Amino acid sequence: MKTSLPLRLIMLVPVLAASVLLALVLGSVPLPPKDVLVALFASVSPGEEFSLATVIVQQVRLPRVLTAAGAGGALALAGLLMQTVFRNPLAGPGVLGVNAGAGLGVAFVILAGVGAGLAAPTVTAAIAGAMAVLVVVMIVHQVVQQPVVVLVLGLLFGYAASAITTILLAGSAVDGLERYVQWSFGSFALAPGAGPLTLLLATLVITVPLTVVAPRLDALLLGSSYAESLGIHAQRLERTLLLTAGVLTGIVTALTGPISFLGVAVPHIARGYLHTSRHRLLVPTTVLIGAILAILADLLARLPGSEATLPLNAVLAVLGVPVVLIVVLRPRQGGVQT
Amino acid sequence: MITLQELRLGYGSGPDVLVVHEAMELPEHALISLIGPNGGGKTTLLRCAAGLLKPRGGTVRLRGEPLYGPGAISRDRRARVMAVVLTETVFPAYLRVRELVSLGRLPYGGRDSDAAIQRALAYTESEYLARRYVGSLSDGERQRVMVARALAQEPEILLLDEPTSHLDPPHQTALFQLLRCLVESRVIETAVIATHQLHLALYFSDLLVLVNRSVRQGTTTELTESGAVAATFAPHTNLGLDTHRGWFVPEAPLQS
Amino acid sequence: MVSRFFVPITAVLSSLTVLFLAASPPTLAQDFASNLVIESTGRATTVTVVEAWAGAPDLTYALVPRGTPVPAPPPGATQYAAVITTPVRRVVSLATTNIPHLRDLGALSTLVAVDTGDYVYDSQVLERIASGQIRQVSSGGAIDLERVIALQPDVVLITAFGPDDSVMSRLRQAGIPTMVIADWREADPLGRAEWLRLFGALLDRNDQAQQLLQDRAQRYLTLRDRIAREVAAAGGRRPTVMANGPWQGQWPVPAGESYMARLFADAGGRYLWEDTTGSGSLFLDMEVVLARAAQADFWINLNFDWFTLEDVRRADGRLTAFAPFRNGSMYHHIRRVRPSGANDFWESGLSRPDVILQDLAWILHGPGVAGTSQPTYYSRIR
Repeated sequence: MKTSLPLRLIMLVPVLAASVLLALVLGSVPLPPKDVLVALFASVSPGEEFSLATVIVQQVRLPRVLTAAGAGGALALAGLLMQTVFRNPLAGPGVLGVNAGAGLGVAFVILAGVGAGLAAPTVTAAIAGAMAVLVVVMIVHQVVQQPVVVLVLGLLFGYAASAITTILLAGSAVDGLERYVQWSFGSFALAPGAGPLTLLLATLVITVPLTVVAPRLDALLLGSSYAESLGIHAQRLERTLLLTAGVLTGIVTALTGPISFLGVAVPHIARGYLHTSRHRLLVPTTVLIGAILAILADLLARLPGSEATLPLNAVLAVLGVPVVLIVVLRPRQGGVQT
Repeated sequence: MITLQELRLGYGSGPDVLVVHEAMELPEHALISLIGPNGGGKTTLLRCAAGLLKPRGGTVRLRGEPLYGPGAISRDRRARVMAVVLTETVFPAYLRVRELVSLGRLPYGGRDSDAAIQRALAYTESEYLARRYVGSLSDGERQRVMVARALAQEPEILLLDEPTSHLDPPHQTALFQLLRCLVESRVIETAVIATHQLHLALYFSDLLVLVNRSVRQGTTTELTESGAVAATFAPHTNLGLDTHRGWFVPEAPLQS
Repeated sequence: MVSRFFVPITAVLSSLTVLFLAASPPTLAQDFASNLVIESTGRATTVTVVEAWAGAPDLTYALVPRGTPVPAPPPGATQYAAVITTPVRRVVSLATTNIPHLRDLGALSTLVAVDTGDYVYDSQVLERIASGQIRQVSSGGAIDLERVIALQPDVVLITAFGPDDSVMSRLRQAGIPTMVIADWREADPLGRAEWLRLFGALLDRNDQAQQLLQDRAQRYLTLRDRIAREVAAAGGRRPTVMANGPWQGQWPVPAGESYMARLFADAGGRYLWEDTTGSGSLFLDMEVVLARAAQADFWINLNFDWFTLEDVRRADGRLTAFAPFRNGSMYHHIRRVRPSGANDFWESGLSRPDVILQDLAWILHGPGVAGTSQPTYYSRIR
């Protein structure tokens, strides 16, 4: 039976809701589902005594789920935009070198002790590093006007940033090293303060206008010349999309560490699920699938019922690679494309 | 329809690819072929005429309105008058023919889409392809669909860059025939084709533009009979143009 | 009504107390620690952790006996980093170095969780982990916040490296008091040992902590003086000491003002990098180490995976060129280790500089000077 595409999109909403509920109910501390629901809606005024369940649900599980949903959605969206701009199925949030820049910023703070006096040095440095790389990429894009040059540049940035990070690692004390490795594992658990909600809102706020201009993104899939011939200011559109994807990636990397695999994989899964490359449905579907996958991967990483946790990046890769393989290798028309 | 004056064209910081000293016009009710050797500037001229390459010097006007520079025609309006079929062959994974053709309606903000898409598919006889994925088409089918996509823009001018290069001989002829038909039935006013298929260009075109770092324009008969076509391609070889067949043949008879 | 007046009154009182204290020495003498300040004002105690990380602001904690009100923050600070009710009954420790302090004060029963048992040497703690009395709240290297919160600890002892340490901020949001333990920042061996005093304050066992600390400092200083006399009597010649091993192309050695350099010096050794500055590590090239240390008398502290001379040879054949290798004077703190990788040198050793000094004296000058026939932490590599 064939389901219409909008219906397929809508079907993801209850799946997302179920994932969120599951992630709220399951945790390393067993809490009865009923208590979790009560805790979720309990209002807490400052100074008041509240239950353990309330603290765990509101202070640990909810921020974690929000971070996962926001980060998953944002990275998947960033990946989709990159694949569209570069018309390259292997493009992802990492191709601009933005997360390498964020990693370098964090390395400077953790390993070289730069800016240790700031209020939130890690997040600040990650955002600063990401934005610095993004600014350079945007300037280069403005000058050379060729996406492929930007792609090569991003790759080079990535190498350069890793090289400098390695140099910093080589001369650093064990505690700094451990801290950096910890950051590089990625985690949804520790995004500070208002981070989780900001991330989620930013993703939603960006999704809406993208859905509106979706046909222009479709035209971009034919190449910038075709897009121009259709009356689109292709370079400006590409620049806006690069900037959007770069900012999203930068924020996510700053808050959760480098979790970029999701961004390459999810757009392929979304296309395979919808059987369309048209962005009007692809954009929201990608965001939803990204959020769902991130929540489930995070749940798996915590292995409910056991006291062990796994590095999130490892789980995402182990989970994501077969899914992408199935989607990509399934016999269909057109091969691996954007 | 399109007038070009004193053009100087090139890419980036590279040398000029093409310099046109005189004024030239791509008129209405005509199928115009751009002919010339590799690297002569056919594609460059076509992209410039299509509004996709800003000239270094000179002006391009569409019905008297400048295509580039201050007071230039808006992008949307340009896209409602001109459409292109280019050589790029990147195709999305999951795009159906009808969806691809519907992209041609972008300049209209989606207005009257269904009827226009249906007509575009009908002109190119590709209705039966509508639900197929673009990636599954043969080269011939894909080129027809790309023409349909351009026609969905309801343009007055259609500009095509080497549209026949990947096609087998019957499909090459069929494509020229389709373009001829579109011009004669006034679906479009003007078709401009950059092509290497000299024989088809000679057979189907009203006008030729010989492009080899400079430009010469004239009717097919004029330019073939004056020897200008042959000179554009092979000024110093022992090949001669068979003007009836559109082939280059050795001037000395073949030894058997 | 009463409390409404009580708070400003105590505020006035405590600021008066502070003014008074400025003129007189604090009740608990601080001797060696430079990152820890403990001040007692009446019934409440404030603990200030100085420079918990490079550039850190002072973190001031209020230690408040159960049932008494929280005193006003000290002048200059807008609020306490945390308010901790004492004596603490439920402690979560996220570093092994806290364990010996709790044990020595007889308070292991207050320990409800550690980050992981993998690096714990203490057998009582390991038994308690096995029996479930002590939980593990970290695995895969990350702290599981919800398990920490579920334990409802009186204090979580954490190691933070910056103000945005996420464990610290998330636990604070959840209303769980945390305390940053920065003993690792102390370059003075006695200063590091002095963090025992903090546990005395947390557990309300100040006198016991003070007594233990005084004994240890006394033993350390007495031994140091005895070694100095012995060295002088022997004509002032101090045996030369090299340290550590090459790791991924670099050879980290303790800098001249570091924890180990001070111990080597107090043990009457001539540490070959004692002329360098800094309390961290120097990352050297093997050539440089060879040039300076090829003829060293002793090689103390090795790579963690070196247990025999054969291990050293296998790691890098060039290491056999060093005199200590050929003379068999290589020593490493591997006497008290567990197969999991736990090493008591990094656990109880850090609270017992007197014992480490004794070991080093045994290595450099023999059992007579050290006053012991057997070292505690060190072994000779064979």
